[in-house]
Amino acid sequence: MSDAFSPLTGSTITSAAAAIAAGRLDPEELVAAHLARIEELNPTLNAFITVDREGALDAARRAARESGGPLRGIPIGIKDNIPVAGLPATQGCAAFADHVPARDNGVVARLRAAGAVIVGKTNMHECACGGTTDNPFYGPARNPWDLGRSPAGSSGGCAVAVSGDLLMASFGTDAGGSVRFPAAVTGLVGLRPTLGLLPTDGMLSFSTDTIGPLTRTVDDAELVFDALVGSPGLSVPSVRELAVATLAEVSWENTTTDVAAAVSAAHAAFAGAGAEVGEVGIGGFEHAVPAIDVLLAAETTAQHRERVRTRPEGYSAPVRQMIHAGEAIGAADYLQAQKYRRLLRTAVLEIMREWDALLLPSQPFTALPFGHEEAEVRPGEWVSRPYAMLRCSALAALTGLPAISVPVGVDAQGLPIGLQLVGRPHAEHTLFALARVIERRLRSPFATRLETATS
Amino acid sequence: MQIHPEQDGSVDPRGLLRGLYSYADLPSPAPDDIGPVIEMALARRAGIRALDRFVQEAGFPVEPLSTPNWGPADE
Repeated sequence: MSDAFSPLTGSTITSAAAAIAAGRLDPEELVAAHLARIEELNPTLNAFITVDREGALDAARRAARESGGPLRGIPIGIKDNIPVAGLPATQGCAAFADHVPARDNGVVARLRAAGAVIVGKTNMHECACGGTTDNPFYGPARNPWDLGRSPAGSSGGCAVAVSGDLLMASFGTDAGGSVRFPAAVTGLVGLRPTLGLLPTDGMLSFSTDTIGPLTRTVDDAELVFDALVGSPGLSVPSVRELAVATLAEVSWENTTTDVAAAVSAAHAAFAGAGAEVGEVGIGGFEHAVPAIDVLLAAETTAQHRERVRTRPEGYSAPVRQMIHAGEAIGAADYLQAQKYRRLLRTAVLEIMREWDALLLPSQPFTALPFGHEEAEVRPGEWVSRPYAMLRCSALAALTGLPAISVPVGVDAQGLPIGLQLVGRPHAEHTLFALARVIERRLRSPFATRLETATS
Repeated sequence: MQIHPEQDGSVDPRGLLRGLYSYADLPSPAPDDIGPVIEMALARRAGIRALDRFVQEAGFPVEPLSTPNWGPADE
């Protein structure tokens, strides 16, 4: 795909917002440039299910007339399971093709209040119940880094749109890793905020679910987070006063050599920046994947059991079968999984009395070719794709702690690697500070591109 | 509820699952779906059993975290 850098579509929110505020950039020009790029590249990338061209241009014109708002005129996309008033919210599923919410979700309303321009609804894994975006009804979203590879999921369209310069930011959902996986394999920053911090109204949400942004840089992630939560300028300790522990179970097992090396490099980078570093383990962590699997499967069944009865043809066979299979999870099984969350959260909070953040891979491998349900992490060593991915994502999903995926260079095939930092409740700004250490010391692909373009 | 005892007297899990959909008046899988559905349901049982043992061995009381939102920032 076209990777020519454009100052309009390849820039950061931080610089575009400053240019708009100073009167040096017209929001309509910025949005029109992104719409043109969508027209050119979306037929290939398939990042969107719906593009609201007229609505976006109207909003951009309003942004040009009005003042204020930290995201004034910034083109943003919304995953298709988050309600945007008047636009379809298909959930990536034919059974919901005619579902058009009348009201904005609370995050969307806050984005509009901050001046953001909603450009469209992005492609996703059908019903958000999987870690790819190989959508059977709307087509697969393609990874801009290699069109033969998946952008992961379920918020894959969000990642493709931002990584391919079709949007400046997007908002996905993360119940079991669905913001962090796609961010990791497309070279982006993906934030899973503290559970409960952002509204999920109007969504078919899970008990572990939260909305979170995908951006090209940590600064952009912080800017959109502050725009939503209203906490800009919060002071955080210097990195020299912070302590980061690598999570041993997840970092060294079932990961590729390149991903494990990236964890080691990040560990060294934190040490080099003056942070205290170490390594920890969590007792009973081997049950994390079964626990998140039980929760997501049972809750999926509860959300869809009636519709699968009345519109079975509206679901693909794998998702339909997943919904039926969830019926076999007993109420007691579900409760045990919820109790496990309590045990895990207690254990992790005890560990985090000593450590400000835990470091682990966002994904144990880089982007996989389409259709790969297993990944070869070392020569001859194959792992189940869903299992290995959930091992990385389950900690934050189950505990509700905030997590950020930050890009850390590329592997031997030139594909982006993402690392994850999990922090204390409501410590998103600490995560931003630590993520900047990785971004700056370990050559985030987009940060490097921006440096090159502006030098 | 129809169950299908094996010759050794144990319960055939496939028959048990088929019975479950009928007994609980659940949306019944289409004939082509029933095989994959049963395989999926059985595949997670070992993990559920181990999880159950771990939680039970943790002792009482363990409060479920079914409404797990974090409260104020000082929690």
